[in-house]
Amino acid sequence: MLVNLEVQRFNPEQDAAPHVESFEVDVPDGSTVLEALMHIKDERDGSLSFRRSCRSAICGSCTMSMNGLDGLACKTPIRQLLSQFGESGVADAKPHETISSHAGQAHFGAAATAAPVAGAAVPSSSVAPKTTNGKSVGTVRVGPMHNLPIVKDLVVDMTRFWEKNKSLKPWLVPKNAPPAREYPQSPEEMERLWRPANCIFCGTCYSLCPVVSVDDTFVGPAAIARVGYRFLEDTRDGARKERAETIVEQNLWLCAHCYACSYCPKHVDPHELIALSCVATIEEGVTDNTGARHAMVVADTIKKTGFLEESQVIPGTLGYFNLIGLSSVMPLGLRLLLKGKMPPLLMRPVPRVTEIREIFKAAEAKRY
Amino acid sequence: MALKQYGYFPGCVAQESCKELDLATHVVAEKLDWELIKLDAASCCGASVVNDMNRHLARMLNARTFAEAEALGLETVLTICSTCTGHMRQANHELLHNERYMKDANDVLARFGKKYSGKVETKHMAWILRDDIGIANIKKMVVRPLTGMKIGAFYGCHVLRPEEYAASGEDPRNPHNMEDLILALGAEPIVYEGRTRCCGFHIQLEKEEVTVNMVGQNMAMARDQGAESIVTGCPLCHLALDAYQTKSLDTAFGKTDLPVFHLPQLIALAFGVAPEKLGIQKHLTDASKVLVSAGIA
Ligand code: SF4
Ligand code: SF4
Ligand code: FES
Repeated sequence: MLVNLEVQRFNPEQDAAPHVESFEVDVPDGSTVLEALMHIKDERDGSLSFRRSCRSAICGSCTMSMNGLDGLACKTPIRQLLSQFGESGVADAKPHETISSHAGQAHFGAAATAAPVAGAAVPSSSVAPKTTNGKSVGTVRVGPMHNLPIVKDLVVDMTRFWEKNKSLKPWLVPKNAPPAREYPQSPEEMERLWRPANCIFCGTCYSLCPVVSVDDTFVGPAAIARVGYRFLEDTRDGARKERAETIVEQNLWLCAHCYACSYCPKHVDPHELIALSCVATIEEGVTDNTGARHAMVVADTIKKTGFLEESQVIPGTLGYFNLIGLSSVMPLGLRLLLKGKMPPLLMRPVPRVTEIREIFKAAEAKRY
Repeated sequence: MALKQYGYFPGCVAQESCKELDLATHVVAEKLDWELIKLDAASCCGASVVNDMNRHLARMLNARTFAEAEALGLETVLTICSTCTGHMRQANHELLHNERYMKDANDVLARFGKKYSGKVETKHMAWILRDDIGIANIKKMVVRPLTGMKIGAFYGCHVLRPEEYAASGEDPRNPHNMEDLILALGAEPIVYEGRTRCCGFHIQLEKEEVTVNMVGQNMAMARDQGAESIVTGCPLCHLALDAYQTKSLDTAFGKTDLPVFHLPQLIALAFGVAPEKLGIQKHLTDASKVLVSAGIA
């Protein structure tokens, strides 16, 4: 299949700014983006730089942006991108189901099932279509990961990413003196550690995170999931409280809950583990901060009235006597007031609000 | 009898600081002959906030809401907020995929004589318009095409991600229901990268400048592609985009002043309803210029 790759190039020794170079390459149907890049490097331009090692979604080194979305190049078939974006390689708000039925795979299937019946004429539709026909199947745009400085072409400097992981102490602080043999773990205890343990530090989530893109003080999804949550939930670790304090200092609560990190290629689901880390910090009593206060005051208003009461949440979160914090939201509040958009100061409780309190009682009695 | 019945879950924000969204939804529902049966006793969906505190709570509160709908014989709950949609679908997904969660929820519901059997599906209004009415039929109802308006859609994270339960039925990285609707209403949809990104609402109290920057970044992307206004299916996105654009002037992304419409407001405008009847004058980013040049106000 002939495919057009638009690759972002940048050589700091020569270029003032990154530019895009197009390569039309003929690769086998079913190729991944990484295979196409390796083809370019082998046959067309040996100076093209990118990281890769395992080629099977294990080492975590081939993260890049493909059609503007980050992921592992070795785990992303070109056909998949075509099915999401069509031939242009640019999100166009149009359905591409026709391609997503995978012209390539369909012909694989056809070839496999159309077992040759002796003497039967081969119906023309089952003949593998010439995908190339001298015409490329479409364009795939490839660039480096976001949120980290470029070293060359598709290679970025991961230093900041590793620093943030280190800031959460990625090692065990034993609770007791080491046992004579190994530390036993129950299946339930292990279950909590499986998900973070699957993280391969590929940085896809970090690259996708919109908060990291505008605020470098946010520790980011990978560190919270793979290091923060991992050790907060390890029953062998003896430093849970300090960990809770550290992770809050590293701006755990700055997560915007956008779930962009749900595109993690290893299904670690950092967004889930971030929420569970928030729960853990509250459990540890690390609550003198905006994030925890916000969560608690929201829950409180729901308990009282069934509603998330906007008018209570702002002072409750910033602190009723936090004059500086409150005065910074005053101008906005005033504008809302003038436009008649101020939320009611008190909401009338929903009917049978006692049922909601009953639910709170039951839920609070459980650990997640 | 009305053509279609839905359990209506407006969510907290449309009953508090975005009442104009609730208003416009009823206007559109009347035109479409929908009967919206409000789930009066329902609680807040918990948003992402309750998830950060107690996962059982989020599931149980929503199980109660679903039980309310079931008791009224309703299987579809119509939402007008991306955040409600996503979190209610998440709760339902967890209840349906884990018997223990369902049992825990039903144990507490039983204390006040309720039960949830798992039959309710939460759907965003935009999906219901697409699936139950059909974009072509909406187009037929347009009496005042929004000709000349260049509108960027802003989806809101929670109707897109995580894929396993947000499930709009479209590719979440390249969705199209909002653009299809914009086109049907006679306007020009502007596709820009920020349309599937986060508005930053949930952290405005944690660190306002981050929200301001996220709003600035997304709106600059829309502006640069030629959008002159925005439409969103989420009142939280609306609050952030509408209120913080004035501040985005201070960011690296430069000034934007794109008026932001709630989805049903835009539909109602194309159905011939006057802007004043839809609360558009309550928005902080002034829409009058855009409406005047489209010949609407
Ligand atoms: S959490 Fe997932 S996306 Fe993030 S670094 Fe680990 S494996 Fe990669
Ligand atoms: S959910 Fe939080 S950590 Fe994950 S990408 Fe969004 S803001 Fe970043
Ligand atoms: S090359 Fe190892 S993860 Fe892609």
